Amino acid sequence: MNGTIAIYNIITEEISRVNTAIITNEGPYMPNVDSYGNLWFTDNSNHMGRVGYSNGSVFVEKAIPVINDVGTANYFMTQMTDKMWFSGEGSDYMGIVDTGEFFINSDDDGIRWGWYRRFM
Amino acid sequence: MGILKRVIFLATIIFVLLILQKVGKSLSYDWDITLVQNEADGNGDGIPDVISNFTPISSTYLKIYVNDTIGNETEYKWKAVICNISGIEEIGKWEYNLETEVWTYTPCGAPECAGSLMYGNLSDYSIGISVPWCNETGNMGFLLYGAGSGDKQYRLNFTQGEKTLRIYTGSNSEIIEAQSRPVTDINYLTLPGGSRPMGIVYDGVETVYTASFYRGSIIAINTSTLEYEEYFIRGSVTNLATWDLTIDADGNVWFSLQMSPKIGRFNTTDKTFKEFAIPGETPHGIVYNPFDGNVWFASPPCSPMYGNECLCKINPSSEEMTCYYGGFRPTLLDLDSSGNIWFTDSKRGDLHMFDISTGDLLNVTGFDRPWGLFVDGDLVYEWYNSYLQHHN
Repeated sequence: MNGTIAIYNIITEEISRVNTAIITNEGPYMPNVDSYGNLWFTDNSNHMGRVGYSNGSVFVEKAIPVINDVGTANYFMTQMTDKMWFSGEGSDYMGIVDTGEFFINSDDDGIRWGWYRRFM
Repeated sequence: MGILKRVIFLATIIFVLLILQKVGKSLSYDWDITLVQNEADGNGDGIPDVISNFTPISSTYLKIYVNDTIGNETEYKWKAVICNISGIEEIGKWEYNLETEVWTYTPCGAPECAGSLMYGNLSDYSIGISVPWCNETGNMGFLLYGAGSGDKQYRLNFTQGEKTLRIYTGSNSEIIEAQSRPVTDINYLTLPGGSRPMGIVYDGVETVYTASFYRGSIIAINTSTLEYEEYFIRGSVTNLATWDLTIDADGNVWFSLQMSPKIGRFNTTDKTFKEFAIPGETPHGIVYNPFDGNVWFASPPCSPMYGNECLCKINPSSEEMTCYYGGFRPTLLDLDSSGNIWFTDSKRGDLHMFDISTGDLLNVTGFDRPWGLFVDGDLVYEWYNSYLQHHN
């Protein structure tokens, strides 16, 4: 299934969309934008995702262990300085990941991936 | 003095062990990608034969893009060999349709996939390109054929672990190598058993608060020490479905209780709770609005049985509550830079903005089943999804 983040521009009233990764049992829950402009999301498959706004690339990871069978979702997020905290609804865990500018890999031959600070 | 040093040393060890017991790390994998050989121009027309790239989507998910529609190549132009993959979790392919912009998944029966994607011993195939590099793992790997296939995108799944992938495209033209490397980039903090943490808010000083969905508590986490204190809303009563959180100007934490239905306030100074009855049935999102000093919350289902009104605000000082109804059913809330309330209506599939000054309502349609949202300057991020099992 395709999960999608819709982005509504309040000024222009235009709607654009970013497809998130196709993952088994995907069901996106919450978006959040950190102070660097990076777009984060949690979902129903125990993943935490980041979206490269400039090129629409998506990177997701299995986030935190699931220790019971009540669900596998991660849910709400809040930014604390240079960390993004998120709750693991289906677990007993709080996840903590670094925010910041991410330049994972790039070169001049069109092989660019990862995710980037917005508006660069 | 010697005894004192030993005591301090032991105390330090115990403290570190306690911290380690509560903090874990999740191992994931990043990818290093190298262009081993640049595009070739087989027919000398000045245009590369193919353009291709890897796009790692996760440790276990990889997108391959190949475009051989450029130039005037007419021969068998691209093939891709992906080997050294261990622990294949799922053999299949997602293929992207450029016209419909839809990804389609085709499961494959091992050892071969249908169509242009195969998985197996590469020596069994006449692939026409040299793949000595694959010998290390017995030549097992993916093979993609794409004669005359045009602009193609595939996605492959595999299990987590260190991998080396190489994509050969064209007739030994472009070669790209992807090497995964383990990194530890997600830390997780262990909370009390059965917590099922939901809402989360940072006080801007040193504490992150989270709502325990099951234990009926608010957990205050010191962000420096990662020590926490747990405060129970109704003593030993569990399964209150404590949901979203927000924090007001006095540093008090407000929460929604979906099982009650009520909202509540946790006084962070004297550690006491107070609950407030609401007109709805299942309070969802809750947010403090510094522009008018009120705590706003969604209180669906917005039906006549509950008085219809379901977008509510409460003044933290006077505790006066006011609710509005406008033909909507709010789910989650956020504020724009003027303090107006943006909210999703997952039932009707709409996005709304409630003007707190005039009471006017803006409707934005065209969504399927929106859920969470986040307002960032002039942009509203909203989930648009057709597969929210939890919320059918």
